[in-house]
Amino acid sequence: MSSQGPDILIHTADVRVDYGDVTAVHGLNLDIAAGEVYGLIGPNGAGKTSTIRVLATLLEPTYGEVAIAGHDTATHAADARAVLGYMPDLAPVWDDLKVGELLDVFARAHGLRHHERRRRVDEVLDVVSLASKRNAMAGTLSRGMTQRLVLAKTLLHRPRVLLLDEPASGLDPIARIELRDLLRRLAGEGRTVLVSSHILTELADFCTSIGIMETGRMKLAGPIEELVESLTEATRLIIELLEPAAGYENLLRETDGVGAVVAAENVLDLEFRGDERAAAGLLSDLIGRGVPVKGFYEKRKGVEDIMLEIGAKEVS
Amino acid sequence: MTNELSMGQRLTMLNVLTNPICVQHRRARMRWLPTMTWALITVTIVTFIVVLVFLSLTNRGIEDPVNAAKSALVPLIIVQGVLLMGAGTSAVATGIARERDRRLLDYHRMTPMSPASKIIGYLFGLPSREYFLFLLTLPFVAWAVWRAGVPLLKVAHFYTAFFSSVWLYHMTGLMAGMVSPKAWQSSFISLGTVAGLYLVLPQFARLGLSFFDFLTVRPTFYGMVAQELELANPGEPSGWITQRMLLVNQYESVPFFGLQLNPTLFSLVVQVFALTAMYHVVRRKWVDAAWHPFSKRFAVWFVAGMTVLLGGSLWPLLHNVSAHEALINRFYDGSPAVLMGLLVGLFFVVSAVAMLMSISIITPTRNTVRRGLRRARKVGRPRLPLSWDAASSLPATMLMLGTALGGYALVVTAIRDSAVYVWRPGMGEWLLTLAVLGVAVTLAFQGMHERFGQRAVILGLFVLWVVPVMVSIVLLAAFDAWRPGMYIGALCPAAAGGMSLSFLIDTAGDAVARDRAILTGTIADHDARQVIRLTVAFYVFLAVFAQVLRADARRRWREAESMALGTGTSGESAASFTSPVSTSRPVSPLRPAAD
Repeated sequence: MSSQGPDILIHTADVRVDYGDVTAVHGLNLDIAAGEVYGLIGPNGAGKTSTIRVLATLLEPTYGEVAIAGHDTATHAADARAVLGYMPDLAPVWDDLKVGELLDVFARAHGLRHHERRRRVDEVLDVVSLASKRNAMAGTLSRGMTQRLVLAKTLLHRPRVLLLDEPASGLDPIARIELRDLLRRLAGEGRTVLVSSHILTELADFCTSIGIMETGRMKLAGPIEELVESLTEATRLIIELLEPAAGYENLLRETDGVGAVVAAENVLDLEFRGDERAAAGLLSDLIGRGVPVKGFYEKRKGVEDIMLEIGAKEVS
Repeated sequence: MTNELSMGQRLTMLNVLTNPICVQHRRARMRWLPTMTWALITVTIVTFIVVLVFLSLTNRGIEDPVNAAKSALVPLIIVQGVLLMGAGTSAVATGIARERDRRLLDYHRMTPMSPASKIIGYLFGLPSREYFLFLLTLPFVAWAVWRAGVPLLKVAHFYTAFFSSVWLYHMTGLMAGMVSPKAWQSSFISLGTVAGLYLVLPQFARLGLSFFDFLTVRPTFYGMVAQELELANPGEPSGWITQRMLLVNQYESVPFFGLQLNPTLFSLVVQVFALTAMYHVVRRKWVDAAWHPFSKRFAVWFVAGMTVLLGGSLWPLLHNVSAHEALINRFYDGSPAVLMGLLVGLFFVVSAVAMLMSISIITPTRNTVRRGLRRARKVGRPRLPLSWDAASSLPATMLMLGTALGGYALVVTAIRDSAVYVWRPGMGEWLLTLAVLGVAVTLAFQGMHERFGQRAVILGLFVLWVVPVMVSIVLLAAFDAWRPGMYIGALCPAAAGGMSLSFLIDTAGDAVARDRAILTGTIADHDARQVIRLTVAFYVFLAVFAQVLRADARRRWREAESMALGTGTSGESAASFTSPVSTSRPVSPLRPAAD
């Protein structure tokens, strides 16, 4: 057992992965607790897949320590695998097996006896909403269904840690929503989910924390809210008007607390230094001066804004 | 859903009926429609064979029913061979390569099944359909055996060797699929290995290395079964099978050291040796794809095993008049001394290939050394254990050289005490020269491989071993420049070794195999001796130089790792993450990367 606390299910310390002279992951430090949905974001080649394969015990790091649920992967890989569920990028399946057969094979491989095997297969098919496809050939499933089938296989042995490499890649919007709901539910059951993607919006909706990787380095990491706050010096306000906004630019620039102002058609986009009370005062002042305000919003920074600020511009 | 099923528990599932991977492939490959289609085709073909051969021979009065049934047996066995050895091997090789290519093997890597269970699963699961089709041919074979009156013991001997060969072929496919650097190369490597092991290597049997032939089922077939299938008049070699029998009747027993072994037993020994080597490779690759295919210990055992098989096969040929004459009568019409030179050369070639291949497999890259040092630190070892992949391959190389030299000493003893050859003064000098050259080349190869890596060594071998021979050929062919051509060409140890062998043959009593140029007086005899001495000296120097470079490199790698590990980091810093919900550790402050 490693030294980290009992509710830390994924622990890495100073992990580095080299492929010959190329370093894919530099000094990675993670401590992810039970119930967390952690999003690993970065462009292709950022080191996400290498990180996940190291966590899955499929790749030995050049340096550093990795522990899954307290089991050191270098010395107790079998113990770590017992609590791990790993879903690789593109989630391949055996096309010539039926959905139920594929799950049955892996239930056998985990040592489940006949009745328990059938019960568990039914259970995971229900979890991923594939019960109606039990007798379908895996090769005939849509991309989204295939992803769900592999997720069902991953859940068969009730792993406490789920490592999902690009699970939403190639899914249509409905399938993504279903996946998001499913991952939320699994996290709600106390599992730790580490999910990677190179598409920001895929993860922003349901991750509790994110880590942004670029060229093998973790550029920034933390709970999404904290990241937003840490990078936010000024609030952005969006003011919609009933008439063209160009005439009101100067008026706003002269107002206390207002920084840069951009006018586009009927919308003013401005930087504002002040809390919510000051923003309410600004609105009241504008209305008092006869500005025809139709809408007044604070625009929160999203994950994309954070990415752009830290310079990881390769991310789509 | 909160509890995991098993905590690091290894599940052993060796029963092929319930093994999950067997079940998986049985389901996938034995769908009703394709299986019935192939079953129909197979049954039709074997029925056609039996009916055609049996009825056409008996109805026309050519053979009695007993001999007609014997005649039907051979094509039936060929069909079985095509099913299991051909189609079955192909199913294993392409199946495992496809799963590796699509990363499906990772799913099974993550399950708690033991590596042996996974290997059994793939070995017997992937060719499920071929086993089923084989079963369908059995009633026809059983009928033919009964009708022909072939003793069941002979049949048992044959099928023992048959299945041993089948599993060897299947394991070859499995190994090729697991070790090829790129998945698409698997099928090529598999085909190449199967062709090399079972078509090319058996050709060495013509020179006396009979154990290569025992990788196939042929020796047992001809030694145990073919006699039973001989047609009506044993004196008349009327059929193709009878012709073959006359050619290969040496398989009735196998000379090995001073023993005469049963061909089935010898087949089993050779095939179990090859199977063990392949199982070792596949098992290691299952446990961790990054591990070397051979462990250091196994590499030594492998070379020792090869040396025993080599020595055991060559001993009777060099030592006993009867075995020597049998070989000469069968395959060779030259002089005994030249044959001795060929056998000694063969020992060197096979030993060198086995050793250089093993060294190439077990020599760590710098990356492996780095990982090993890290792991050693983690488990509290002050030094890398010699058996680890990351440890230097020099100690294992020394042991391999020791076993190979032991085998060579045996060969030399066989020549010295031979009833065939007269030991003459001067032979020892050339035999010793060959040994020194072999040791020097091996140590140079190991040192360079460990210091500079595989690619650099391949380039070095090309520059030192191939280019000089090419230049030499140009000098000889275009300019008739014998002397410089010989000096340059001898940089290749095979050329220098060949020249040493020619001196050995000459000393033993033959002048026929010496270089034509020497015989015609183009160059002086002492020039050739000088060239050999220079080559040996060059490789001894290269071996020392390579070992100094190797030792220096490892020292520097150790120091570099100690510095990196001593600082407690890999030399990189980046953002870290600690879950805020953790109660055991403080939430780390968010910090951008310090680039």
